[in-house]
Amino acid sequence: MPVLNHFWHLMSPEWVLVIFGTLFLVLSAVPGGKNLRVGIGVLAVAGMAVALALVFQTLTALGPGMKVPVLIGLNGDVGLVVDPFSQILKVIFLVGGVITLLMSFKSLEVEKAWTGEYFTFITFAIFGMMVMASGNDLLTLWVGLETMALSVYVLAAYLRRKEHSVEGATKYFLLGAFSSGFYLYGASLIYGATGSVHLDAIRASLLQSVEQGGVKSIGFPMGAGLVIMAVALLFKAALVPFHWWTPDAYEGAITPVTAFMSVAPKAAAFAMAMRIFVVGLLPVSHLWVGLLAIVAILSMAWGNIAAMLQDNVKRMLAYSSIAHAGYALIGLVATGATGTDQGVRAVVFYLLAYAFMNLGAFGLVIYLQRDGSAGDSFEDFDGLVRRRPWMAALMIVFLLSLGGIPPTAGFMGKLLIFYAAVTAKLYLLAVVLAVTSVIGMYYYFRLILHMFLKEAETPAEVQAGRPLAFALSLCGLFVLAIGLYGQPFVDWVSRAALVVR
Amino acid sequence: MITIGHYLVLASFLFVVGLIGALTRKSAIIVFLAIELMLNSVNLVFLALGRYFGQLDGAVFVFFIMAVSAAEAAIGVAITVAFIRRNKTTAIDAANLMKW
Amino acid sequence: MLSYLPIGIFVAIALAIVPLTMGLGWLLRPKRYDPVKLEPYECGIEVHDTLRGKVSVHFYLVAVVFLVFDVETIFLLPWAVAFDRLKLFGFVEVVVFLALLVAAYVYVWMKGALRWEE
Repeated sequence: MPVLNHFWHLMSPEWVLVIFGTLFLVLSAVPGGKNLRVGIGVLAVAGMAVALALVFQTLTALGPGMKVPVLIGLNGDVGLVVDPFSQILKVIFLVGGVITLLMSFKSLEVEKAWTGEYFTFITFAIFGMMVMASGNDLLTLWVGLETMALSVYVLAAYLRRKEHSVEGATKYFLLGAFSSGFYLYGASLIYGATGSVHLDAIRASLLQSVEQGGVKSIGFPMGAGLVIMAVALLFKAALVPFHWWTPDAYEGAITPVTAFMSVAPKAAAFAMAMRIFVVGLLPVSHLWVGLLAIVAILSMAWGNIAAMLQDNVKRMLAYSSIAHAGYALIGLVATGATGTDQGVRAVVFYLLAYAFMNLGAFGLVIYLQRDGSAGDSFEDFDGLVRRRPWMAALMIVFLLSLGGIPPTAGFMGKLLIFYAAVTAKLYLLAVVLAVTSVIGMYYYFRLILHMFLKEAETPAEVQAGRPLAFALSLCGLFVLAIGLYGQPFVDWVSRAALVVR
Repeated sequence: MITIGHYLVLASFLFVVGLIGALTRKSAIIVFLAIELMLNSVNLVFLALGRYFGQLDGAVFVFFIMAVSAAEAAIGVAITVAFIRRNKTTAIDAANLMKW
Repeated sequence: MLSYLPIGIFVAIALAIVPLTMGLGWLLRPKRYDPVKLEPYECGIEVHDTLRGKVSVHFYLVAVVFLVFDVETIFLLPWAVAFDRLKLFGFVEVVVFLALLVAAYVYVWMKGALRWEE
């Protein structure tokens, strides 16, 4: 009989985050000035760096295709696993977290909103995401999801004296709680259909019914549960038609939180969706491939079209993030269609590339932020090339990358997704990807034109500050490195594998 | 004789009531209550199925749903109070600063 | 069928009595309205505020804190039922869990959320 077990050392990154988060919580109640809060911020960066190092350590120890059970129940059920897939995604979350924290210093300074709770919630949100990447049953995954979501709701409402922040957070929260209900109802139906909440057992049960009675033997509760659960996951990843909260929550939140929300929770939602659909539900891929393909097409089309019509850079980037989630979803569809890991790897690589370029683009908005303005109108970018050539050059790199133009990370990401789609014979998705990418160029170039051609009437004085400058350089460096010399990154990501044989 | 089917039908009925409530009501608090009704209908499904299968998994799931929805309620009340302070009303129609 | 007739008559009378008596009362009673008459409790405690008045936001704060702490202790129940089989591992888990709750409690306390008077 398997014993209750818990491999502490493999979970050390999670433990580091919990300990640091709890410490920040207590520290943030200590009366003290701004210096204490800044200290908590520095400590948060340090804590995440430690967690990052520990994740890398376990990643190197793991062989390709290895999957180590971490949390084992009395009856032998595995609650958490550690495999290269989970560890690579944890790297993405933690890198996103570190860059977000570095970019937060300036925003908190301008908004005069220094608190310790800010750092607590970012730490706990990332802890939740790490559980989402490692979870091996529907319950563990959901608890991770809620840990992340509850933290991010609070972060979205962080500027509680500002109407936009509260309104965006209210919409985000109500729709988020709503989608949580959907996830649970879907999970309960899947539990009823397969007799287990554990992904391995669900897969085994589904395989057995497919082998005995063919795909026709999969009953209605299973199909309904799958669709209802998919709705919740698509909501968290902000895909059309479940994206209505996205632009409002993104516009209202303080900009570093927007950057964070567009990168880390989205990647976590993808991690969870891939874990559930590929590990648990691959035997019934015929039920979800078509559904996700339609969602991907809608997201790419609507995300890009709506982004063209925006007058606010944060809203534009919000819609662009919907389109990018659509691109990434193609990879998951490809895995469903072929049953190979190629699509999963393309998604993971895309999430990595997207993290750097999108954080960078939001970082420039933070750079333009000043007292009384979020720096998120197109006019704020007027004449930036002449005023601040280096910053403008960085922004151009990020925008070209988002547009998918070589030699940048975004191009490499789209190439892998495109390749996965063609290999899986998903020609329609590949064509839509190419066409909507061209449409997407329009609004990225519109911003570049503002930087080149327009002249600011009264250029605002803006300062970067060292942490923000460092974070932006880091993003720019990685966007170019992945674009120019992508092979090591592709090799690294290709260790991620989910399909179980 | 009450069978597993009765529980499932009742639960799906409750879920749909919650769903309709969440989609149609105007007050943010009532919407949230309707969402809680959805979660509770799921609790009923899990308990009934767990007993039917003779497993503890269903009951464990319910434990976590209850605890997490309490935390969710706490954050929901906090955000709603902030919302009411800004708009002087609980009606979600007041959330009209930003549109698509 | 006919044997049910008495019940039908009974139900009809029962249904008729309510509007009848209320209508009679409305017709016959004297109608004199004055402030004292219109009070919610005509002969009780004097009303000093409206129902929809403002409640201190502090009530919500305490309610929220109570709600979370009250429900989170649910996790002690499974441990209490199976602590003999969970052995030291279960004990450590529960201690960690309680430590997290205590940290949250310390936070709430230090923030002054439990203090009533300013």
